[in-house]
Amino acid sequence: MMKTKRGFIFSIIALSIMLSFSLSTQTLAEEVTGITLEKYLEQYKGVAIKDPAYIAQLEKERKEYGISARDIQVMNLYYMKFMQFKTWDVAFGRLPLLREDGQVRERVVTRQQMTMPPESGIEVKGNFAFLSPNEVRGMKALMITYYSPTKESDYWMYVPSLRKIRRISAADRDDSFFGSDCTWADAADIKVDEEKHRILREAPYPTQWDAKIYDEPDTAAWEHVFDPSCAGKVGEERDKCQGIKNNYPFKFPLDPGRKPVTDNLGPMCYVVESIPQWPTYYAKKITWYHKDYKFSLCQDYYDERGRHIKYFKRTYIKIGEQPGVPGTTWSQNWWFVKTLTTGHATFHDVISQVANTPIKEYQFTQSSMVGTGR
Amino acid sequence: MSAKRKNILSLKILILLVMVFSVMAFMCQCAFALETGSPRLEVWGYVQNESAWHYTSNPGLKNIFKYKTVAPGLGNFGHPAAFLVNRLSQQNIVKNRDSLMMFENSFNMKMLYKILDCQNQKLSVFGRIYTLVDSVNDLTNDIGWRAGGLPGARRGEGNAGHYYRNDMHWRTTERIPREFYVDYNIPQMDLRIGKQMIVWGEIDGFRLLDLVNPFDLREFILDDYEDSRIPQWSVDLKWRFLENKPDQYLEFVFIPDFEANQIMKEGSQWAVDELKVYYAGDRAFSYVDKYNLFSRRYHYENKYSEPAETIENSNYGVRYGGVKQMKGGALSYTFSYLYTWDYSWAPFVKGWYMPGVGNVNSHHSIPGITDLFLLAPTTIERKYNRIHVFGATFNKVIGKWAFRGEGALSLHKYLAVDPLLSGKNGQSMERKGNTLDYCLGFDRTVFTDWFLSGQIIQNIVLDAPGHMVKGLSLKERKALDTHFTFVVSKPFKRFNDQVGISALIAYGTVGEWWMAPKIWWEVTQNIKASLGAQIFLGQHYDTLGQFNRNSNIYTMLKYSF
Repeated sequence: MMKTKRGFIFSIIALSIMLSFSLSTQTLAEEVTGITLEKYLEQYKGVAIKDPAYIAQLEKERKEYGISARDIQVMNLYYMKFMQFKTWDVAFGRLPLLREDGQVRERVVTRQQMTMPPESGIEVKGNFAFLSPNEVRGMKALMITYYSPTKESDYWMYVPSLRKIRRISAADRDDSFFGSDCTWADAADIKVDEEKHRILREAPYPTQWDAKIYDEPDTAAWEHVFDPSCAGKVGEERDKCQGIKNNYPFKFPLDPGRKPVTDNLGPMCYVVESIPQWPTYYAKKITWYHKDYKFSLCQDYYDERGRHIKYFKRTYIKIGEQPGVPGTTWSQNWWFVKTLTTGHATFHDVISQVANTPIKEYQFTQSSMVGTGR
Repeated sequence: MSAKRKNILSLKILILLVMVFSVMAFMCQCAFALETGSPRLEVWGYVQNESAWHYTSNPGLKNIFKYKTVAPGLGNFGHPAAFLVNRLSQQNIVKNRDSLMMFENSFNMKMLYKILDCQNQKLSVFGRIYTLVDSVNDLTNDIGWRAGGLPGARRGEGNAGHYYRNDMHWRTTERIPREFYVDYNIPQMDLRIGKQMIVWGEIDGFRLLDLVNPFDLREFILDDYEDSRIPQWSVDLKWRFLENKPDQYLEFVFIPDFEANQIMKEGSQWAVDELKVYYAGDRAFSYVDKYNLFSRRYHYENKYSEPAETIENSNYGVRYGGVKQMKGGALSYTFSYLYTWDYSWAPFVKGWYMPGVGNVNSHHSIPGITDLFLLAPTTIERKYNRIHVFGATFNKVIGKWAFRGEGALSLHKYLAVDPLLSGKNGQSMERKGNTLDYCLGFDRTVFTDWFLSGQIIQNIVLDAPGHMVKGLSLKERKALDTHFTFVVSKPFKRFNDQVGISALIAYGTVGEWWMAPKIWWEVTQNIKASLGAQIFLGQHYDTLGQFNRNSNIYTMLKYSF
């Protein structure tokens, strides 16, 4: 009898708490300010560069090209970090890991991000979670990056098998990002002045579609992105294929017949060489930056012997506040990275993404990393 | 399962269902607003086989009770009770070094139903079914128990199947519904009500603050925490009390449900030596009582009691967590307080039998003289005790090193002392005392993908009482106990990270080791295979060393769905 009474009182109290909180939810209106490109660039103006030769080179580039390689990289980071959005929400993304022998390990992920006001000192807060397969389901990463050019980013990872949150050292940025070919540094966590940048030339992005991608085994892994009839075509024939005009909502089964954005093909680019100033696995990186938008379309990594060890390709689409409806702001769509030394590749297909959804800051806290059933 | 427990269980499930549907009724304007198009019901889990083989034989521990301090004149005979205790002990044995140790098939299925899935408001129900069948005793006669025996008592050899994880067998149902709770998440709070696991703490392998739930220790600490942690009916509320600083939270835990640690049964392979002494002693004193070996006046009683499930007996906890932004990066911290039951019982000796005097409740001991005549306890009472645990944790990155640590100050914890030497009122072998446990650890990755992790763990008894012992064995316990752990793991790029190795090494400064190397292979996305070993080195009665005859090689095959 005592237990029955206790259980009843207990459930009434709990129910009341739940309801009172739910009613006050609507009154919470947390505005997060997005940051403009101009504001973002300003952050980097005050940073003193000490190498006079590098300063002179950047000055020379400004005269010659109207922009320096370093400025291009800052602008690229602006897009890579989605700084133009207040919030960014990828409800579903696929992350197949592709072995050289054709075996595919599929990953389904979800990702969210929030741009913080500059006065907080925090640039963005982001999270990244695995929905499948079950071996990694519930694994979640929390990332905080800072405006300060010297302050390292902070990472935490929730490990469902331990039901514990683990701290990850930011200095381990050469680590694989959850088994992919992407490192933590590739996941938009590299400071501008951790590399020295130099414009090599201006050149049109190769209109011939990179056959290397189509040469990858098991193209079925991403055939829903491309029109299969485009596969294997090169040159003008390839350019006739239609590009993606907008992003798509997530559906089962995945829609075949999606096509890459043709804007990736042919635009004028700045070709920039970046030499890392920190001990890392590559000695040189060549990036093709879209001349108008400054986002990177392709990056080639070379080791100290000059061997081509990795390439990273990105595509961009314009997204809005509704999934499946084109918007006005550029955002990354799918990307593909291949480690040439192992033949292993990773493809990330952003299936559904929206901008400026009412995500709240609590979703980027350790207390919210423990999901239901994890 | 008793009828009483069944009634309580059905009542709890009913309350949960009423709450879920009530909440749905109030929130139907948002219900089923699945913007992502994701199906509301998710089901996933795995089936797994884990097999292990001994690589040492085990004749059983002879003369488990060797207490000589109070009777030095008796030489190897030792304390008068020792003969009976040793003769009636029942030991696990392993006849051959390649004997099958485990053939465990487990099934784990999780179900998640999202009732409400708005961007900033979620309501879900989660359930987990977990069961296993260990068929080892149907497959081998090489492992089992051996008893010395005395006239009229059990003796000979037998099958440990009656003791080893028998109540986890599929024929019983008590623990098959493993978790069942409702989650409600909004920006201000996360509320979880139902049968659940609550995990506190930062460290691996040792549990300093991870004391909220009891554990199933019948396979020592080798089981995954997911399987060995025992869920309880409870409420867990995380309240983000500052709107502009949501990374700070207060957590309130309320557990009206009592569950005890599941300990090893007599004769099981993972019975710790202290428990072997308890089981043997219990058997010996019952024997003496049954056959009136001392006197007709001697009566032995073994009492066991669990706390009633009342509000007063509920466990409470509060935790404050946050992130402090510092120049070199963020510092994560928590401070906690837990008022809980110590889920392991403590044995209280309530009286002794003294020849010529009879039953005495207390005595003034004169070591070596008085105690020689204290032959046997008249009453042993196994009880659970309330403790206060104050805790703190942190994690912080400095350079390439991720540091973490936790500390626990436990008050009113029962500590075993030698009842025959510990002073003037030696009728009980338990003293209340305080302990301070802490751990400092690091994680570091080197050479791109070699993951290293190390920990130092120290357990300190504050103001340690004199003649402190490990338990009923009356082996001396030191006030400071130190362990080190080291983990290394590496996936192989050559095999596209689908093959990897790892090793755990734990060392106790008393001279004990636990080494667990492993190689794993992700055969496909759903199938994972592992081959590993558990190697124990050390002496009896030491935490890890006592299993030096349980070293084994194992395989694991897991299919996830």
